[in-house]
Amino acid sequence: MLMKILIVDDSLLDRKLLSRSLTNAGVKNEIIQADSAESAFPLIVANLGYIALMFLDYQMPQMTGVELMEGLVKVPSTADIPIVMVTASASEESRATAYKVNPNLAGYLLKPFKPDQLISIIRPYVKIDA
Amino acid sequence: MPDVSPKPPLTLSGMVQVLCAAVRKLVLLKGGYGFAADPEIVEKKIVQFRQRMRVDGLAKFGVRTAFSAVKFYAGVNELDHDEALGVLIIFVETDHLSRLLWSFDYPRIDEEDEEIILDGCGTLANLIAGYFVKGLCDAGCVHLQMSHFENHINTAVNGINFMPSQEKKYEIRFLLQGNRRITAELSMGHVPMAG
Repeated sequence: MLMKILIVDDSLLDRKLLSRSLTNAGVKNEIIQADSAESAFPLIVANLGYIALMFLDYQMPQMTGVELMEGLVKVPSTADIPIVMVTASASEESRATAYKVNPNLAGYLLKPFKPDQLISIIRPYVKIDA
Repeated sequence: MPDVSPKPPLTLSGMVQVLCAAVRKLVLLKGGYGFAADPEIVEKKIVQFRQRMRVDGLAKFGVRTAFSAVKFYAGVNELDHDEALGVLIIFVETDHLSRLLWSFDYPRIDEEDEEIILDGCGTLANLIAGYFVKGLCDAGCVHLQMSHFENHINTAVNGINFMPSQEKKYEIRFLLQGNRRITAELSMGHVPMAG
């Protein structure tokens, strides 16, 4: 099975933007999506070991992205999934909270982002065909 | 010696200035839009209905209008108990939403699709709220937690949840280049200062 990229964001537009940006950047991995932290769980379980990278929205109704990440880092089988936190919150406190919950955070992407910012974050984790 | 004395608390009108700066930073630096005029700021009395704020989007521009509300909380505990300090509501003409979002590199949206319009307006409100919270932090306030966005078109039948002790709000009208308009309403109680 080819490694996949999981996008977890309640905003359809933000999921579309990320998905399109990844494709435009030359990423060939299959992109799977969840519109809430709760609906991400079965996707993560079904794809254990095959998630190359996860984009996680900070602010979501019900369970937030930080709360989902807090759960994932505690479970050995999911602790190593590289997670990029995606947020509109530009404050240092939000960033610090995310890194405190997951010191191995793969990246912190501020909305609205530019393609070069996205590429520099994903480059260590996925193959990019220029 | 650097001045380490605590900063004075921000008044609501001070927060309005922070909001104006946040919108300017977002639309100018990230979206490439200029302003056609300085923001117009109007103080208004909050009209309540069953302890919720009456909000009429249609009255803002006289055309189909989407609006989204983001609430702010002093901390995670307050967020969990929905004890909001204030609320920011962003109004935008549905006909202009697609182009505004496109300036931030979002995909074009179908302006007839109500679901995607609501999602788009919420996305814009979320971006503005994020920059506003950062501005408040820079002004010495505690880091406010943000709610998920709540979206409507034209009117919120049941009103918008807010801090009922507040009696006034500010309406800020931004006129962007190309006659595109964003209007914001801000109501906020006392925001604690950091430290």
